Amino acid sequence: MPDVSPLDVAAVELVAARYRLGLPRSAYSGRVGGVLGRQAGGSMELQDFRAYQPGDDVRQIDWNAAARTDQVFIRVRREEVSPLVEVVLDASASMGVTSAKAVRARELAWAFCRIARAQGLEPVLVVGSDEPLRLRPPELVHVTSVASEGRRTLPELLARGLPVRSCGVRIVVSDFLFDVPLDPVLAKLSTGATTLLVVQPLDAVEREPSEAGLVEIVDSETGEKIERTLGAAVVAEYRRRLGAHQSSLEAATRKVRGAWTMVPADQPLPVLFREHLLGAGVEARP
Amino acid sequence: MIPGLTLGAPAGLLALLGLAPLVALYFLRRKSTPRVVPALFLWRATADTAEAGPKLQRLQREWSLLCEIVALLAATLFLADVRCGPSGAGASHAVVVVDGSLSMSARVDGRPVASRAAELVRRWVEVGATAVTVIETGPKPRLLAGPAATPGAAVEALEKWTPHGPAASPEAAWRLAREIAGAGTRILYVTDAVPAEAPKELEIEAIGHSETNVAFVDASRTDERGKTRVELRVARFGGSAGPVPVTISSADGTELQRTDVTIPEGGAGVVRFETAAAGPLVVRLPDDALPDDGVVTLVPDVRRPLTVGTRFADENASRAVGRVLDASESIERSDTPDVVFASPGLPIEGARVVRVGVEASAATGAVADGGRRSYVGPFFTRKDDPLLEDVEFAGLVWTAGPNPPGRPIVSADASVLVSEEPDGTVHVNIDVSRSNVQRSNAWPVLFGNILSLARRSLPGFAHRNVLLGEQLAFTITASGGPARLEGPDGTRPLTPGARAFASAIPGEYTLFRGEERLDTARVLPIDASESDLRARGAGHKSAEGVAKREAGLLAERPTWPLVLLVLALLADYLAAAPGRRRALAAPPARGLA
Repeated sequence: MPDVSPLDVAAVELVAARYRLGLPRSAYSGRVGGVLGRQAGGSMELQDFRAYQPGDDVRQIDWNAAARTDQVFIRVRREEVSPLVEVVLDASASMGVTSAKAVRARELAWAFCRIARAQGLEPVLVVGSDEPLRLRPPELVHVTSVASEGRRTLPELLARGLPVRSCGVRIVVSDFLFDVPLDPVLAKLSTGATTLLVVQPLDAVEREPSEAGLVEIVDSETGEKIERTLGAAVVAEYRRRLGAHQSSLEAATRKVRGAWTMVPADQPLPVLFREHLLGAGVEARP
Repeated sequence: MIPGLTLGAPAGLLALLGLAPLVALYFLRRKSTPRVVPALFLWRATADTAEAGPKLQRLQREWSLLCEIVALLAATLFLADVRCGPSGAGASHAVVVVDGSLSMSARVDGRPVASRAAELVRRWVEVGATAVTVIETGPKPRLLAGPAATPGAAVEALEKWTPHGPAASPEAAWRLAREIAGAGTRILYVTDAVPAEAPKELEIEAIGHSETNVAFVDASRTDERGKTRVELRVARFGGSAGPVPVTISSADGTELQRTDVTIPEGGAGVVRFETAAAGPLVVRLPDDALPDDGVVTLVPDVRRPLTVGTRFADENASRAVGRVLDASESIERSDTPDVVFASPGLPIEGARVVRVGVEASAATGAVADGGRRSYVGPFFTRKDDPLLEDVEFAGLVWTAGPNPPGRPIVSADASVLVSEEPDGTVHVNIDVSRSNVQRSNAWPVLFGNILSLARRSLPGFAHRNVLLGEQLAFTITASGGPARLEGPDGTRPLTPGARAFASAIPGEYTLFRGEERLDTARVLPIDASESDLRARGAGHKSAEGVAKREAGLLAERPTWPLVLLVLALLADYLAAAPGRRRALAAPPARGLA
C-alpha cells in the first residue's frame, strides 16, 4: 500500500515563513512582475547602450552620450518579469520505500511551493507519477495526497514528456536512484529553467543500510529480485556505489549550472532547511 | 543388515521420519526475507565482488543442513541402540537360566508355567539386551539359545521350550551362566520356587503356583515266563484323601483295566496289574495341575536269552559247568553262543570265553605234583568285583594249576584262582577232580554271576523302563557297524565302550547298529520331587553387588551417538550465518528499514 501519511503542515508553514528562495544574479524570464527579467523591455531600469539602428525607438536615444561621443546610442532596458517556480516531485515507488522518505518528499515539494508563493512567485507542482500532474494553486493542496507508487522513473517520464515548462526556478525533489547516465537527465531537467535546484531526499537506511543475513532484495519499481547475504563487505560496497552515484549526480547538476543537495529524509522538515538547504538555494527571510 | 552392526531397539529408526520435515524446512528457510529497495542496481553490482571472499557464506545453508542431518542420524542411532563389532563385543549380553525340571510344565490357569517364563524373559531382554544366552538346568545344563544369540532367536527358542527334566541342582547351570556372562553381569534365573540358597549376583524370578497333584512316583514292569506284571505307586500331593481312578490300556488304546486306588492325604497307593505277555502298556491318571506325570508308558522288559556253548577237554569240568548251565534261566545252548565255557588252551573265537580248568602246560608259580596245589584258605578276593557277589569261600577246597593270565580276582597264596582278562575272558583256575568247589554253593553263585555279567554285556539296555533322572544304562559291542542312540532329544552316535548317559527327557530311546534295531527303552516322566507342587510359588530376589540395569533409553547404550549429536549441533550453531542471527535481531520494516 502506498504511504500517504499526513504531512506536517505546521512544519511547512514554519519554513515558508522563515525561508525564501535564493534567486540567482542571472536574469530570469517569465511573466512581467517585480523581478527584473532577462530580456530587454520597457522598464526604467537601465540595462545597456548600443548604436542606433534605423527603426529603433528615438525616445531611447541617449542624447548625453551622443553629445559626448558624436555618435548616436540608444538605451536598452531589462524587462521586469514575475518568474515561475516549478517544483517537480518524483512520485515513483522508490520515493516511498520508507514512510519518512515519502512524507518528507511531499513536505519539501509543498514547502517550496509555499515559499515561492510567499515570495510573490508563481508555484507550479509537477507530480512525476505514472500519470503526471501539473498543479497550480489552489490545487497544490493535492500534494498532501500524492502517493509514491509510480512504476516509471523520472528519466522515463522525461522521455515520455513530463509536463515541465519554461520557468525561472525549477526545483526537483527526487532520490535520483536510477541506473541511467545522469548527465542527460539533468540536461533535460535544466532545459527551460533559469535555475535548477536538485534536492535528493534519502532515508537513513538508504544511506547506511545495516548488515543482515540472507535477504531477497526487491526493486521497488521494477519488482526485480536478487538474493544476497548482506555482510559487511556487501554493505560497504553498496555505500561506495551510492557515494559514487551521488558524486555523479552532483557533477551532472553542476554541469548544468544547478545546485544539488542531499537531505536526510529521517530528519524533520525544519531541520532540513536549517542545516542542509539554507545557503544551497534557500535563504533566510530578513 | 550390515555385518557387525546390531540394533538393540530397531523402533528408534522411526526418528528418521524427521528427515523429511528437516529437508522441507531447509527449502522453506531458503525463502529469505524480502526487502524492497529503491536502487537494486546499487546492490547488484556489489554481489560478485563482495561474496568472492568468504566462500563459506555461499555454503552456510548447506553446511547447516548437513549438520542438522548428522544430528538427526546421531539421535536415531542412539535411540535405535546401534552397536558395532561382533555380537558380544561391546554389546549388552543377557544370560538367562531357566528351570528345566518337570514341575515347570505344571498348568496355572490352563497355561504351562514355562510359557510365562518365555514372556518374562522377552520383557527382560528387550529392555536393552542385544545378545541373549538361555541355559536350561538339568543333570547336564543345556543351551537353549546362544551363546549370545539374538533376542528374537532366544525368545523363539523359549516359546518352543517344554521343560520335563528330572529334579537337578541348578548350580551347574549357574556356573555355566557365570562363565558365559562374565564378571559383573546380571543373570536371571527363572524357576517355579525361590531356592533357599543362590549366588548373590543371581536375579531370581519365581513364577510357580502352589497346586495339589496326584502322580505316579514309581513304576516297574517285568515280563517273565509269558506273564507281564506291572506295579505302580501313586502319590497324592495335597488335597483330600480319596480314590483315584487308574486306567491301564494297551498301546492301541484298548482299556485293559480300570482301578480306583485309594490314596490317603499326603500318602501313596499301589496299583498292580498282571496280564499275559503284552506289548507296551499305557497307564493313566486323571489330568490335573501336572498332567505329564500322570501318564506312563511301560515297554516290555524282555531280554533275549543268553546263548552259551561248552567245549571241554576235561569231562569233570564239563559236567560241573553243565549242571550250572542247565539250572540257569534265560540261557540257551547254541552253536553260535554269546559265551563259551571251555577248557584252557582250546581255541575259541567270536564269543566271550570262560576258561574252566587248569593249564596243561607248566606256568610260573608251578608247584609240586604236576603244578597243582590245593588251598583251603585263606582266599584273597576282590570284594567289589561283581563276579564274586554273594560267593562264599568258607569250607572250600580249591585245587589250582598254573596261574592264568589276567587280573587276579581270587587268589590263595601265590596262586591265582580266578582272573579276568581285559577282553573279558574269565579264567577259573580249578581242578574240579581235586576240589569241592563245584559241590558247594559258591559254584552256582560264581557261575551265576559270570552268566549275569555276560548277559549284561549283550548289546542293549540294562533296564527298559527307567525313571526320570536315572541312568539309562546300555551296552554296545565293539564289533559291527557304527552304533547310535535315538531318543526324543535327537540322535547321538555311540562310541564303543559307551555304557550309559543321564536321561533328561522322558520318551522312547532306541539303540541302533547301522540299520539294525538292537533294543528299546523308555524313560518315564516319574520324579516324586517334581510332582510335589505344594511348595511352588511366585517370588523375586534381586541381584546383589551388580549394577542395576537401567530400563529405558539409557539401558547400557553406547554414548558415541550422543557425542556425535552434540558435535553436530555445535557445528550447526557455528555454521549458522552470523548475519542470519543479526537478521533475527533486525527490526522488521518495509523496504530497507
